[in-house]
Amino acid sequence: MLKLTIDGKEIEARENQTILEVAKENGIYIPSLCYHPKLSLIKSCRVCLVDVEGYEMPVASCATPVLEGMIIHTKTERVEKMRHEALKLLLVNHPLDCPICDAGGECMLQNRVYDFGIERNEYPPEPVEKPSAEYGTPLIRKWPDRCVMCLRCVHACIDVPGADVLEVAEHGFTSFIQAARKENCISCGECLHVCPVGALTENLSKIKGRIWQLERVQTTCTFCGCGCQLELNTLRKQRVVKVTTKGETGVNQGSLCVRGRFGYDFIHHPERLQKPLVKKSGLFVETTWEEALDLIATRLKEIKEKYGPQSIGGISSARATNEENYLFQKWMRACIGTNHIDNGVRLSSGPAFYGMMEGLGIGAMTHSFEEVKEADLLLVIGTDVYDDHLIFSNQMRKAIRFNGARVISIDPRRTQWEKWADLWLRPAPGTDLFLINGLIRLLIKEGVVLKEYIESRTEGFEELRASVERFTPETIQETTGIPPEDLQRLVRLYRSARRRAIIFGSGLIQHHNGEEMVRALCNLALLTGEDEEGGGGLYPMLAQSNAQGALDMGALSEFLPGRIRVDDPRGRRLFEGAWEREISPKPGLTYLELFDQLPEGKIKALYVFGEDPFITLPNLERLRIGLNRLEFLVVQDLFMTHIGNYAHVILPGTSFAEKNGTFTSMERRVQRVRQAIFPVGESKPEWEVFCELSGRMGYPMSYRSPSDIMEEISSLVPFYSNMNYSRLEQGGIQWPLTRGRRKRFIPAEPKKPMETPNEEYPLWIIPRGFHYHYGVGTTTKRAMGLGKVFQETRIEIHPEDASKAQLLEGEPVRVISPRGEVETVCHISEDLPKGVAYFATSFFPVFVNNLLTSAYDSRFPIPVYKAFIGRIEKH
Amino acid sequence: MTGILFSSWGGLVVDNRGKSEDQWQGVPNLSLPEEFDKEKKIRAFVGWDGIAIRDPQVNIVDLIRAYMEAVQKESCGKCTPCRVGTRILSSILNRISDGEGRTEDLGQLRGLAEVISKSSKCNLGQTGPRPLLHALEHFQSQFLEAIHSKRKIPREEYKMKVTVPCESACPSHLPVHRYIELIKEGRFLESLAAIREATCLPGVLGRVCIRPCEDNCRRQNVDECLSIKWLKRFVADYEIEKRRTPSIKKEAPKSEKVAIIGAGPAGLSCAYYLALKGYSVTIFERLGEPGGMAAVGIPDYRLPREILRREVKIIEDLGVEIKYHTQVGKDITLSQIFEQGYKALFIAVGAQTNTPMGVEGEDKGYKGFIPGVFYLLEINLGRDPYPEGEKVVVVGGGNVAIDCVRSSFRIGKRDVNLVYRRTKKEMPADRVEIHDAEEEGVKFHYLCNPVRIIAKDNKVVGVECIRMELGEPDESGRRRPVPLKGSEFFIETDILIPAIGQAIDLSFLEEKDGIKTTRRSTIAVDEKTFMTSRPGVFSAGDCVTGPDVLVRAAGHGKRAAEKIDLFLRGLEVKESEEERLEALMEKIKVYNKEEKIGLPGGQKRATLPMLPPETRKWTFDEVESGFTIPVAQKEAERCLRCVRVGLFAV
Repeated sequence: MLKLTIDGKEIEARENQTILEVAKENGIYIPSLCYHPKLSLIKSCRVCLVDVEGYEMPVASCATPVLEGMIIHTKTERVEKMRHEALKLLLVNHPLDCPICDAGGECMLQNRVYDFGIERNEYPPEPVEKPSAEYGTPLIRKWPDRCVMCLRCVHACIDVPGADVLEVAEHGFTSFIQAARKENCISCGECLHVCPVGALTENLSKIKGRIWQLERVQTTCTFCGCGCQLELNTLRKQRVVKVTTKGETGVNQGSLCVRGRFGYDFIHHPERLQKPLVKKSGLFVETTWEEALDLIATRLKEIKEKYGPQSIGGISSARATNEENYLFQKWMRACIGTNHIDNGVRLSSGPAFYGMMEGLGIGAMTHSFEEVKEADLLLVIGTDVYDDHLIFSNQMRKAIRFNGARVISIDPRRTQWEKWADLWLRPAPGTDLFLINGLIRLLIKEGVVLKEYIESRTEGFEELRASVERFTPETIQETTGIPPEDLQRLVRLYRSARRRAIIFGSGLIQHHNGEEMVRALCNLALLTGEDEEGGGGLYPMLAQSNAQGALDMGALSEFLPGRIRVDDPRGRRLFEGAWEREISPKPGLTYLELFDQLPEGKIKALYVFGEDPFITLPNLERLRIGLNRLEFLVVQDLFMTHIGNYAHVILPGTSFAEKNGTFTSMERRVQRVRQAIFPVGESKPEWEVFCELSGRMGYPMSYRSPSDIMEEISSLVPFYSNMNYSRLEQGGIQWPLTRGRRKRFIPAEPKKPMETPNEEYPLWIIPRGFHYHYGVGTTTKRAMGLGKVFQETRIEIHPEDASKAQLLEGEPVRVISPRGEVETVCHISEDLPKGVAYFATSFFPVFVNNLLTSAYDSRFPIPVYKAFIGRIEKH
Repeated sequence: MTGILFSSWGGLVVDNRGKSEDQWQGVPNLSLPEEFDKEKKIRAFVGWDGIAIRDPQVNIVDLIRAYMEAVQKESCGKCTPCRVGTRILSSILNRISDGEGRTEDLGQLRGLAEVISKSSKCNLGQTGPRPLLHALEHFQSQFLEAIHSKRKIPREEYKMKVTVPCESACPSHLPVHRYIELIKEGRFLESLAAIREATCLPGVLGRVCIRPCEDNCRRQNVDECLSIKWLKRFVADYEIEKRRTPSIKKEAPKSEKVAIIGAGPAGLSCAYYLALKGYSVTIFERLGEPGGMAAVGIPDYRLPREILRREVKIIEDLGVEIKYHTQVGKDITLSQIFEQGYKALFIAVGAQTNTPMGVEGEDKGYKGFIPGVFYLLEINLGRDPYPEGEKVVVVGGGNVAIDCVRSSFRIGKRDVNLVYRRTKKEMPADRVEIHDAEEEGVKFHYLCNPVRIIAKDNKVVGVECIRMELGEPDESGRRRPVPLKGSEFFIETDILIPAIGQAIDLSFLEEKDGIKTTRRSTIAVDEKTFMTSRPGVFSAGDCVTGPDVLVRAAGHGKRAAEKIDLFLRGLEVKESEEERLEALMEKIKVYNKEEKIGLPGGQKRATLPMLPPETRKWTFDEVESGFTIPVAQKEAERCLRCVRVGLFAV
């Protein structure tokens, strides 16, 4: 600890703290403008200057570390004069258009000028040519005249996402902020977030409302599983007009990605379903809730009585709240009596959950987001984390910025993280398992293992050792195409690190051997205890906002809430007691099985909540046949979906802005979803609908609010026992990991792929999501900012493959697989390997899913999303 | 106009106005040359530390107006007082010069100038208004007159130079402040690209430069200088670690061919910048390895070979051809080179032989007597120069001597000694290197000198030395060592390595080549154009300067490339204005050791983690590992950004 004096007050401070930090901690106010705690030091505004006794020059308090015995004065006449002068200078040429400025009322310049009592522009205007108003993204409007050149935006763009779009152009008074590398812009809006004035404003909706008219409701983002905290800015509880973030709140610390910040206006899309619809003589007609609910309850009761409860199935939504998922499966299990319940996470991330459960006993991320910054090695495999999970990518960048972490990128395609990688390996599609097993073999050989840990805390090491023996560098080269030198580099980097974070995602999980891949990564992590506290961590990237929650809540065919298997009699008894109903001990059908078996006719009724198998499953012909055999189909969604066309009743759902509840993020953090506006049209929060239906079917479930539901959940699920709404008001709560059980090494054996390229279909085609969209795209495609401004889909192909097929950049092409074909445009890129084409698309409205192979492994019934064979032809 | 009429340089006011010229006082703290160039005199100079006026006709108002305009033009836009404030000063001064001044302007100028100079982020804003303040104090009447007369003041001719202490001191004039700022901002590859504007050897200089920049770093007036060299290495390494290939823009190909003799730092630099201009370049190299002394004179533990090879590969990728194992004078003559159609020739053969010690027995060809540069050459080619030998005595105090002793451990020699005739204080070798050698266990024998080599069966068995004491200072300013009669003593050794200096071997030149040499056996060139006595033949590097530092050879190689370009384009080969200004700045001296900066410090410079002496002394692996990103950025953050503007009225 150091001792120093600020404004006559004796203060203790830690070494390496800055004067500004110390002052702030001690309640001494130093005005500032460009300083931002998240960013590297800027020092541009000169408003935070203070005097230090014994030194001729005043210093920028934001950038000056405290020293023992420093005597600091924050309000001397001269620094006050300098601040005053700096503000006067900032007002030169600054338009005083505060009445029409979005920032009016919360503008830092306005506030400082007000504080200092500056009443007019003291210096005459300086004529300059108007700098360009062109910006990196059309989602943000730039007002060059309002810019105070604080440079926060420039620093934010480099420091936080690492996009590096902006720079200072020209010199002197004519200097301005230029989007010099527009092609790098990912529209994350970090610049917009940090802009202290109105030089950057959101360019989406015309109606913004004045700051004092807006209500800001903090909630959890509805898109991916990062769990970002954002504020919905609403007018009269009717309309969301803007998304902002508050300071450094939440895991995202004020950052968002383009979806979170600009993807909100799907909420008010004109195609939102407003009323329940009932199909009468083949046409949907609007109806009342009363009528719709009665009809559903009656029909389901009839079918249950006629065919038994096992004839009914339900699909829940990983984008719905925990409370809704809990209620849905409770209704299905206790009221209807079926275990045919599943949700989309099974398809998108199931193998991560199951693979990690087996090996580590944890079906979730082993560490929290924040901890990744402690890692000194980032192994990024099968995930474009920059594109898909920017907020986690931002955290990973901290490991580089503050910890000098090394980076290994394993991906056939060049991603943004390749830029920062010390090593980039490009295994042939689907062969990563050979590489990881080979790495494990070499690490064991070179003794890069934590012996004591393996002996005391794990089992199965010898089996693992034997199982990886055959993965020699030669085998690896043969299968993956990675030469032994690169493998050596990989081992060297891995070995030289202390905390290795392993980050993986859909590129790995959604292959034919996804679950084995996850096992292999668990094995790798266990070798050096990366899964333990103090280790680097194992980070699966989950797609949906409540993927973790849907799993935790038991919206799964074999699991009750809290990961209790339905065939575990003791566990089941707990729920039977609480729900006062018997629960079927037989695991139900999974998502894919359920739809795949429809043509067999055993399933008579389905309730599909927030999912559309027409964009998630292969073989649409079979799906159509199956759906036509259903006696009764209910679809509950925000919009009319493809499966909706087959429904007998359609219920209008509510978006995350219209209801209360919780989401569990992929770092196991339970966070509040808060209602910001009234439900659109006559739509109703889903939890209310489930209660109504259950009641009508003779099993009353009555809760006054989602808070009551959470109370029930916390009484039944031990790791949710901490969760209640009053505690969650203080911020999200992570459910704890029990690191008690012995972990298991489970040998992971490569499986043969379902198909491999041949003469007729010479390419591997890998569908990938892309930055501006999310998941299957039903919501993001309807967000004006995202859906309209950005390109929809394209197939990316290596120049050599393109010339073989005589394709030109940007021309329309057909992508053909043995199952069918779809149209798109061609993009030629050297970022891909030869023989592999990437289909950048959300599956909606292009039915890429119909090109997938419909073969699946019966032990892991999920489609192979990440590789199918095909060819590309001119349109 | 030889004396200075008025000076406020460094706050020391010398005011000779109104005195007869023979009574003019001198200005001790400013060495201002009289001539700008052959045609123009320096009438006045305005800079970061004040004003100096020679010519009484100089209009101070216009001079200050021009200076303020230059400062505003140079302002980087990254802090408010400098960005906006100097613009306002400049506008007001322009108004006064246009005859539209107001009396209250002076008060506003003074007030604002004071605020800007105290509140700006970097030295540009801090020093920019200083001459204005001096002028307002000492030339107020001229300003008032300009305001009251309402007359337009004619604009005069000025020459402006932006300078930085570290950059001015660097023989290659690397854009230090710019590349450090880019590191601070996290733009490492751009930082490296900035370095490459001035040198093609960033990874080499980032390891072995003697770093005059750091000696001239203003930060040392606050606490310690920046680790500029290691920051350079950091960005060079970053490019390698992140597997990037530099994108280097090259001009359209030109038809002329240029030949270069020697692939050392001067030759490589010249080749690189000629290739960028589109010339086709061939280098003739005696050895089978590129880099010259950088390759065979500097051991691998200081400069790993792959670093050098990679930088040479980048040069080759630009189209430069290196013909290895081709000794000019033996495998090919100068006339043959010209016959092959080369339109210009650049000689950069360096200084690759040793200077004799003048000690009895050194010409006898004893086994075990190995001159330093040959000893290092052999080791660097992977051979033990004398495997039978176990004990080593190296004579000399420079970097070559230190490289010889430290390399000796690394080829397995157990007993390693260094004999130097002065004391550690006078040793010209790098302080850090001396310290590292001490740590590794080299025995230093100061204040003694060899007098006789003792051999048995034609093999060295020892050396007789004599003790010395320091007498009067010699022309180098160091005290001259004087032998102490009768103090002879004997050191047993198998190997004796003289490393007291290098010499230039010009035996490849023939009389008919028409290239004049000097009495010091160097190649005679016009020092402003690097042209030899034969038109079209240029030369730079150690073969011109005598043994010197890498960064100078590299810098001269680059400048020579510019002259060769002028020559090939049929233009007058002459010093550029930028070079002229650079030379003037060096004379004026941009760095002032005595300057009080008035900022709190307490931040030590970052240093590189090093292998422990007992591990490192036996291997040629690089001794130090580079900065990590956070360390480099924090170090870069210490930079005071001492950008200044100098303006000459001519």
